[in-house]
Amino acid sequence: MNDLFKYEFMKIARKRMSIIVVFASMFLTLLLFIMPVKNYISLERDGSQVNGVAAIQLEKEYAKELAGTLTEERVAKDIREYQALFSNRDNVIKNGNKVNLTDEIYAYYVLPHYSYLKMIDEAFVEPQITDTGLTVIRDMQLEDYAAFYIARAEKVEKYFTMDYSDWTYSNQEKDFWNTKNSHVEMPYEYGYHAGWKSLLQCLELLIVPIIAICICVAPVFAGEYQSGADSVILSTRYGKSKLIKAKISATFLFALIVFSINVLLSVGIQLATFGMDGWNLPLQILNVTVPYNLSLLEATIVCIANLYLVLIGMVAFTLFLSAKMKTSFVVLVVDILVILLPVFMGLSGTNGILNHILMLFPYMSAQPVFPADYTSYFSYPLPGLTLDIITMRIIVYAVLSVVCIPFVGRAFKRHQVQ
Amino acid sequence: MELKLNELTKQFGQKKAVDRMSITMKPGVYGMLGANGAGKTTLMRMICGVLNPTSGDIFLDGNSAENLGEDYRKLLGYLPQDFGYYPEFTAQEFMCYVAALKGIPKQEAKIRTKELLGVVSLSEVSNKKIRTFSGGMKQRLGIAQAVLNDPKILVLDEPTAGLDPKERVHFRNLIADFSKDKIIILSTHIVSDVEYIADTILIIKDGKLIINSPAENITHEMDRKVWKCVVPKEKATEISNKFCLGNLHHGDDDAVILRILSDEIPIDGAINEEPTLEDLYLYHFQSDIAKYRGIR
Ligand SMILES: Nc1ncnc2c1ncn2[C@@H]1O[C@H](COP(=O)(O)OP(=O)(O)O)[C@@H](O)[C@H]1O
Ligand SMILES: [Mg+2]
Repeated sequence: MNDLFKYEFMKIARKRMSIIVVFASMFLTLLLFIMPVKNYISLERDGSQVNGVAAIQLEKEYAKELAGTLTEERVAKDIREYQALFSNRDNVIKNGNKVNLTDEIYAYYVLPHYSYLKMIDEAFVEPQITDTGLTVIRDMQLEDYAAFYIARAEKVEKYFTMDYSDWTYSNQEKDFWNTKNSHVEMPYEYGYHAGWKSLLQCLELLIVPIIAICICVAPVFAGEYQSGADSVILSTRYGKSKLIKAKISATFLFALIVFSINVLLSVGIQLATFGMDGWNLPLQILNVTVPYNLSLLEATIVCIANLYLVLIGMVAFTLFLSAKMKTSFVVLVVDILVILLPVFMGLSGTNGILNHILMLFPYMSAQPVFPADYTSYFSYPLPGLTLDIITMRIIVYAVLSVVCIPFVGRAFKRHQVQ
Repeated sequence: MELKLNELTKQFGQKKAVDRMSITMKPGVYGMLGANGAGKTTLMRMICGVLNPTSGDIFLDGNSAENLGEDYRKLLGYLPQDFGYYPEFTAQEFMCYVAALKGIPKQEAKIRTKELLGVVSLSEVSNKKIRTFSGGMKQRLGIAQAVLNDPKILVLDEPTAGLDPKERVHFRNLIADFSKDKIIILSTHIVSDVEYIADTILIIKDGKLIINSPAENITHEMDRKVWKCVVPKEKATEISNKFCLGNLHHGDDDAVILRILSDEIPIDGAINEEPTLEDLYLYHFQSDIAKYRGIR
């Protein structure tokens, strides 16, 4: 191993600040990813609550009852069974003109399969409406088959024709999403998938180690200016050449190691406790209308890859700032502002273009696009080409890295000791 | 080998920190004297390529240092005035790191490091973190790193700052041993640092090179300008305010012995003395010194 590289790596990794920040972020990752396990709740059929690992076990049993292919016939049968609960007088309580299942019946028949029924229900619900009471499948008129996948397609079509305050879908975008949707495999497979569901919800928390890593690498160049070591370094033979390469590669190695440990911790905790089951089930069982043809495992990999790109882009950007600015503190302030800008500004109600830009900032880019309708159909219509948000993020962060790196060297070489 | 500065200038806003400085240096020890703020550090930074001149050039054997780049820097050794150490590094690691920066092969670096840490008496603490070092220890480590690559051009900015008298003597011997066939430039505002080791004395004032003279005849211009005056105590203050004062001490009885630097005889009965470098320095910086004393 190259000596300069080794020493540069040591400089980053041995700083007290780095050690504290890295361990604090790992501890936070542990905590944040254990919580969903510890707080996992299931209800027994008698309505009593179970927590944690036992709750996961129970959820597995419930999901087993539902495993299988969601053919139209099967969906119709499940809806009919649900509707049948209401036809028995003993099962319901009338409250004015509202009809509700009794607590016992609800706990026994509905709650164990709630997220499944909710998923079915969602295909039939109007866009932007949440039907927590599952009233749509209760009240619908069933033919021989449920028309579940047709309902899904119609709902998607409505996404494009609806009035949004900030965006209007162009024909180009509609075509793009319709093509993408045509690749989604139907009918869906259903089964236990709690681990992947939890993971996909939690992965955005890995923005914490990304921020931690930026804090650690902020002094890579600025720290030399601050301490006054710059004059010695820059006057040496390789101070303006090999050293820069060594610093950049040591920084990236450090960032990748720290981040990978966090990824392994987070994914490890959740999959070890929830189990890997469901890895090959389609993403659509989490959100019926998602237009991406991905399994849960693939979707998770996409999210993690996306996080790695955000990390690499932000590290490159931080290095650039570090070479340009006089102190690591200024580097950090700019970094934090950039990462959290969408949080400070908030998404706009009316300005779609601004929102399309804000969605590319690190904090937003760390979030998975799949769970929400808003982000799962988020696209960037360029002349002659539509990009989905995932591709757009990949491009933005790849370009950011590629653009920043050459400027890092330039800024450091030109640094004036004064 | 010839290092040539041609009309080298550095301007900060309106202030010319270094003003059209030209000098040609051949191997030898150059002692650069100047008050604080004279421009020594700025000049050295430009020589070491860490600060771009506003105008003017630096040539090594006729080639511009800027164009030589790495080939110029590999000949350099530089001890900056205040410079940063990595507190988490041990002295040995720091030396090996600088050796890597200077492109010294690993094996050779280890041997040189060991040898040099011995020379600057840091062998015993070579595995201690720099964080635990005193100012003098850091300064000695700084000197050691500067000479790691056996530089042909060695630039030392206030190398004796923070060293105790014994260490100063040690340092001088070190430089004397090292100086063969090399250009060594060292700055100081303490005359005695360079008095014995410099072959050439450079005196800088307000960014300008005012004296560039071989050390042996540097004091010639002061011949017949240094006066010893014995005066009564009550007249001492008046006289020393009027002239540039080199030294003052109380003699027997009520008399005070003054060393006055003056072109003319200051008082009747004054007698000429042998001039020293210190006299020369004081003579040229008398206005600054007067300012320092709050007079004029
Ligand atoms: N970065 C800077 N900006 C403005 N003025 C400076 C800067 N660096 C040095 N100076 C000025 O240039 C002059 C020379 O400074 P310096 O080279 O440090 O002197 P010396 O080393 O002889 O004490 C001083 O007046 C100082 O205030
Ligand atoms: Mg100085």
